[in-house]
Amino acid sequence: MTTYIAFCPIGILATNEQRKPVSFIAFPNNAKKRADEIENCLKKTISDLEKKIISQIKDKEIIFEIKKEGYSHEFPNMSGDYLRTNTAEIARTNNIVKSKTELNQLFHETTTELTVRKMRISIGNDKLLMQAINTTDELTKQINTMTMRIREWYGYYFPEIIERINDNEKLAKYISETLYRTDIKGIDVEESMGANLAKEDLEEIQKYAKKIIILAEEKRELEKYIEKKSTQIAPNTTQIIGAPLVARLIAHAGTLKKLAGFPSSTIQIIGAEKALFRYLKGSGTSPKHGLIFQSTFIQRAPKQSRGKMARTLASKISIASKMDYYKSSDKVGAKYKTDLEELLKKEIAKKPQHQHQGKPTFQHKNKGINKNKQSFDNYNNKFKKNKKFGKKKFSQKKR
Amino acid sequence: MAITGVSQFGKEYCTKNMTPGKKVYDEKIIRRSGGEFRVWDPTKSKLGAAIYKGLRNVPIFNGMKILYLGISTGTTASHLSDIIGADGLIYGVEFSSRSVRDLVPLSKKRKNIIPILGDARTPENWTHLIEKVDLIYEDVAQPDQSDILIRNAKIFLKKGGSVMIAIKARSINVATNPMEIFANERKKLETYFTISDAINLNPLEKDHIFFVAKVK
Repeated sequence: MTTYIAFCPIGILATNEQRKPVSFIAFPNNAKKRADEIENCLKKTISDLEKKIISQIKDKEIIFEIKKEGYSHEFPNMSGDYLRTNTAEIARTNNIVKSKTELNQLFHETTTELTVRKMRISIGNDKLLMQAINTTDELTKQINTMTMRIREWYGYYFPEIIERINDNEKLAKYISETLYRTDIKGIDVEESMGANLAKEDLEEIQKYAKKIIILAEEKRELEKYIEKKSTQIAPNTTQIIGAPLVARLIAHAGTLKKLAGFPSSTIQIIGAEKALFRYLKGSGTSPKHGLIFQSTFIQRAPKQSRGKMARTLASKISIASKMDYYKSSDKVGAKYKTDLEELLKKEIAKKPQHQHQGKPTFQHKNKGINKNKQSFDNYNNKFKKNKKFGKKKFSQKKR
Repeated sequence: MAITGVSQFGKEYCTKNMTPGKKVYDEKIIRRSGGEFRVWDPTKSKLGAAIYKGLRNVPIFNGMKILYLGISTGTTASHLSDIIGADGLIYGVEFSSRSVRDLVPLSKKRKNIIPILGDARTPENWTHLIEKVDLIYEDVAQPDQSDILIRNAKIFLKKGGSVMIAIKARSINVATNPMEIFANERKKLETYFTISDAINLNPLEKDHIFFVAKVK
């Protein structure tokens, strides 16, 4: 004889092969304790209440609805089916609830408690990393717009210095520290073409400049934090492509788990979805690289071998992220990095196989006029065609 | 033919607010002698869109139990909750913890919505939390959403129960013609259900189709 065991928020039920209930144990009458018991029952080991019901049955073959150590399981099983069909009846006969409303309330309380508990543990380090990298992007934008404003504003008073200092943070520092015009190499204050502003006007600009400095500092600290977090959760991947890019990839995938689940071809074009779907719909070429273009491995590579570089890099990231997610003890980051460096060197040393088929230079024209004239015409025709084609597509899309 | 629990004022379809004075999303509120009514926004809810496009055979009644796969923040579910009343129950399964964060406060106001953080693809992980239901509503936008529905229906649907499903062609395949995809999905669903209504949600939702079906 076989016995089937399943549970739901009211308790654990065992049925025999004929789908008849044999034994039932109710969970404690309190939402929190009930949630504890359900969490125990979800574990792979047998919980106390399950032990109790097993001892009551005295049957050798027991089939659970979820995976349990030392027992077989079947989903959905007979007991679970019975329990889900006759929940109200079982609850009433066992004096757990008196009415339908009470049963609904019981389900509501228990499940909400369990969901809230799950929510608490659902936020991992990767989510924090994602917020941090998005914040740095926003801060960069913010600092740029604020400096643009201050350049215009302080420019009324001292336009010469605005042209002299290109670095945003340095300019903000200068304004907040000196405030009034000072002599700098090559700039004579006496000859400045700026307007003479009153102290109260300048002080407002100074306040704004101080905010820029604070933001820039915050950004720098955040970058350090990203570096730390990234090496903590994905050491191998960080070693290959650096913390900011790891953070961006994780932010795009959602979690490190998802990134580790991606095939390398997906990692290669993460961030180039627009181009990819344009290609899939029949116009345009397939993208070679998405976010990973930010890696120096691809930027340093000669144009014709960037596709190859992107493919190799993506495959390395794919392996490394899997190792990071499953916490492998192997340290492959450094090895992969040297591998990629070697490949890059090889690619740079290679002479370009195909000459660039662009607009012919004057030298070409002098060598053989007819031949080159033809190619020039071809080029022009091609260009015109492409232009037309592009325009047509665009207007179609707009419609 | 009128739909149970849905009243029509002019062009707008409304459900009677279960929690008067409280809005769920930024919907319009109409006050009549019968009570307070919440206007069903067809651009925010796919079932709402289907009703605006002429769906009349909606298998909902007071006190029913619903399994809602992909409940998200509970926009559509709040109207279902109005219709089924305090005796009914909606088991809302959602995969994204961010959406559940907005759903849990709603479920505290409306006691007939139960939030479950889980994946519709793996019912093993949350089967123990629910009973058998009269209706399964699915809106998950996954490539295998028809298979997910059939699998869940086999486990959780009562005899004679019905299902509603909103299919998004673009999440199944971006390159093929939506009409082809709809025909394909219809064939898949008809292995287990008999489809009574099929409503194209254009232009309220692009490339979406809404099926209402019953178990064979």
